[in-house]
Parts: sequence; C-alpha cells; structure tokens
Amino acid sequence: MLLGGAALLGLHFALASFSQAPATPLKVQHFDKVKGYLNPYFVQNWMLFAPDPLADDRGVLARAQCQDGSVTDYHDVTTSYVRKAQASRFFPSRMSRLVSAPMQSINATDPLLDRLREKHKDDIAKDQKDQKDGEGKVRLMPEEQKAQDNAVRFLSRYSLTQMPDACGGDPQRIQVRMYVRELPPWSKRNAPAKAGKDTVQVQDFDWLKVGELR
Amino acid sequence: MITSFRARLHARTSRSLTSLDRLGSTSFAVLGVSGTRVLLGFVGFMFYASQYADRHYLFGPSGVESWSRFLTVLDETGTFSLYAVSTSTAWFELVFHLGMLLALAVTLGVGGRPVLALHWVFLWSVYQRDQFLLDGGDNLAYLVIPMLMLTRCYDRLSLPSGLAGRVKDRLPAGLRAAQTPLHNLGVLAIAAQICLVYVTSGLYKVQGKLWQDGTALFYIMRIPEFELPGFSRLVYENDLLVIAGTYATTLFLVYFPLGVLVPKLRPWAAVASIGFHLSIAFFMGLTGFALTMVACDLIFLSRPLAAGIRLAGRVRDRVAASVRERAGWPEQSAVTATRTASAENAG
Repeated sequence: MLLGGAALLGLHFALASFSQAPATPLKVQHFDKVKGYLNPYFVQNWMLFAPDPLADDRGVLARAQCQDGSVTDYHDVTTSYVRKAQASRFFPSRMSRLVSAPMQSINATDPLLDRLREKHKDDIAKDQKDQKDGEGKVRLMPEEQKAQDNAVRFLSRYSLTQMPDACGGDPQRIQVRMYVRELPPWSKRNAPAKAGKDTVQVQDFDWLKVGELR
Repeated sequence: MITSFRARLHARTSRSLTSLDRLGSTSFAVLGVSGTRVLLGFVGFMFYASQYADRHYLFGPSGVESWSRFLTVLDETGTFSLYAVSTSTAWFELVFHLGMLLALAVTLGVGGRPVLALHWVFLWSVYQRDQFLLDGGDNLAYLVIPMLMLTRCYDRLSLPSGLAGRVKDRLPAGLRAAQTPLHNLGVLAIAAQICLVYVTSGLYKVQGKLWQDGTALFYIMRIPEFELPGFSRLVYENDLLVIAGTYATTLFLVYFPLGVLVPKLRPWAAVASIGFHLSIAFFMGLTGFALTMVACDLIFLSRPLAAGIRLAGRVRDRVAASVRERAGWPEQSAVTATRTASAENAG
C-alpha cells in the first residue's frame, strides 16, 4: 500500500510539476491532457512575483455619462482601498484586489503569442500604422479578448458601486480608464523627485451601458 | 568478490526494507501536521472574519461579481459552490456563517477529519464566489487540506473530543492499520507540494531580469498595494538590503528541497522559510498568504515544536509555583493535578 500510494503521489506531482514548467515543445503538445487531470481541484500557479514582477503604480479611474448626456469627472476607485490595505498588518482588507486582479488578467496575454508578437513587432507596428483607429492597440486572440472583456465588465460594475452619487445616482453609461504610473527606476532612485513629471500611461476602455451591467 | 557483493546487496535491501517498515509503522511529524491544521484553520477563519463587514458586497447574491457571471464561471470550470445553490440572503448568511464555524472547529481541533473535509467544501465554495480576491496562499490551502485529511493531524493540539475517539475505536482493524502509512504519505505529499511551490517560484525568478539584477525587491516593495508606509522605505532605500534580500530570496527558494532532504538542515530550512514569510506578512501585508506557507513549513518542525511546548510547560509550572508561594495558595488540588496529568499524556 505504501509503495502504491507513493507511486500515485509521484505521478500526481509529476503532472503538477509539468503544469508549472515553461512552454517547452513537450508542454505545448501535452498540456491540454494534463490540464484535464488537474482541473479544477489541483490547479496551481507558483510564478509568484516572477519572472517579471510588477514595478509600477497602477489603478483604475471611472467616469459616468448621465441621462442628459453630460459626462462626470473621473472618480478614483482605487486609492482608498489601497490605503486601507496599507493601514493594517493583520489580515488587511482584500478589497484593493478587486482592482488589481482584474487589471492583471487584462494584461495577462498568452505567453506563446507574446513571443510571436515580440518576434514580429515591426510588422505589427506597420500594420497598426495602416489601420486608422488601431493606434497602439494590440490585436488579441478571441480567448484573450474574452478574458479582457470580462475583466473590463467586472471593473465597470465595481466602479459603479464605488461612485453611487454620480449623476444623482442614475448614470446611464460608464467608462473605465486604466492608468500605469511609472515609479522612478533604480538608476534614478536618488534623483530629486520632480512634481508633476511622472510618466503616466492610460488606456480607455469602451463605454458600457449601466443597464446591462446590473 | 561476488559473495561480498551479494552480501552488500543483501545488507542494502534489508536496510531499505527496515526503513520502509518504519514508514509503515511509525507516524512521522504528527505534531507538525497538527500545527499545520491549526494554522490553516485559523487562516481560513480569518478569510471569513477579515471580510466580515463586506461579506454581502463580496460574496452575497447581489455581490460585486454578477450572479450570472458567477454561474457561468462555475460551469466553465466544471465545479460547484454552495453559494450558487440559492439567491436567498438567508441561505447566503447560513453558508457563510457555517463556513466560519467550520474553520474555527478545524483550528480548535473539534470534530476530526470529517469536519476538515466539510471545511474544504465551504472554503472552496467561498473562493469560487469571488476569484479576484484569491492569492497563492488560498491556492495552497485548497491543495493541502485534502492531503492533510490523510494524516493524523488531530492527534495533537486539539480539544479532547470523546466522539472522535469513540469513532476511532470502532474502526475496523484493517483501516486502523492503514492509518500510519496513509499518514506518512500525507506528510510526504505536503512536503512535495511545498517544495514544488518554492522551486517553481525560485526558478522563474532566476529567469527574471530584475531578479538577476538584484533590484527586484526595490521595485516590488514600492508598489502601493504592497507597501508599508514608513517601513518599506527603510529596506528599499538601502542598496545592500535590496540586493542581499533579492538574492537571498531566489537562492533560498531554489535550494529549499535540498535543505529539506538533509535531516540536519531541515529545521533550519523551515526556520528560514518562516522568517522569510513573516517579513512578507509585515512589509507586504499578505498575512493570509504568509501564514499558509508557514503552516506548511511546520511539518518539518515537529521536534523543535515539541521542545518548545515542553519549555512552555516548564515555564508555566515554575511561574505557577512561584505565584503560589508568594500568595500562600495551597498546593495543586486533586482536580487540576489529574487534568495536568491527562494533558501531558495526550501530549
């Protein structure tokens, strides 16, 4: 029994380790089968802060469009929960993850496709220049697009709950803006801080109808 | 020459058979896995407790993750959640509070392994309701609890419960004989799991540019979500601490299994891991994640834990004795004496 059990354990951990291996040709070929075994109760992901950890300040702003067509200012729906998390060291509130986790799934594109995109980035840039409205946008595969849409829908719904007074409580549409504020890199860590000179990138997502989110 | 070879081979087989025998007859790390159970139960309890005020918003039927999306994801994953059974608030409150009580029961050691299994079901259910809240700690928890169910993790550090003992006595002899090998397999599984966690995360760090440069800690500790204002600065503004910390992290993670395989290094590897994770808890605010990792490290620390408990017992006796002396209290009463004696037996 001991030996049989140990053999089963060995097999289980071989498959679990395989699911954590980098994208080797073997993994590309067989990963779906292994996933069939591991899903859903043995699924795991241990790329904790690796290989490339986040290194900037990111978050989400949101604005609403009212019945009369006017558009509100941007609401910061990120910072208050980050402050709340910082304020406690004993099981702090996880509310800030309602922003950071969907943002991560927006940015988590398929690693294999990312490699292809990196390889052909000149072609992609040319392609984007030819398109009229595709400025700076990476074209995503259907699966990636679906994950992104779901994350944006979630963020919009979340933002709605965080700005209950917008448009007198009756907004018609909502738009989410993602920002990435670069923090000074290591090489400039001792340079004096320049106020208002931060590099901030933003990405605006489509307006969504409030009625469809509720 | 052939005979000496044969003799050596014979000696070796009999040696490995003896150690195999030991694996079948001696339960290893009972105190350690009991500690794992206590701490995992506590972290589970705090998952509920720390979101208690926000529970309707996060997990309720009209929570922030829409009900239809919740059901779709369950369906796509091919799994269940008790929270999906009904949209009534009463049902939600019932499931949430029952889950909380089960976590508490696991921490205190009430109800034995059936309660541990139920706890897993409730915990899995609440995890499914809002997946954006989860981190690696929760991932490890739902993997390790089933492994823990193989082990004798209620033998120590649990409230005495007559029922569990009686059930155990009624078990058929065959099943009781299987307990020890099952227990050891469970401990082995937890050890393998924690090694997989550390080695994977270590090897991916090795490939990262910031980790190679030795500056990863500098970047991570400044992310607002993971910063402790006033304290993180003390680390990330110190060049030596940043580089030493970054490299120590990667080296520790990659070499952890070797530290565990060498018996003499084992407690030190576990202590290093605990120190590493407690500083993650302090600086990054990831209490649940850090304590889940610490809980799994405890399986390597049975002997030091036992020594610690003995020491605590001696200190307590001495303090009690000196208090009695000063206050002129009478000697131990017969009742407390038996209670202490039975507690020592159970330990």
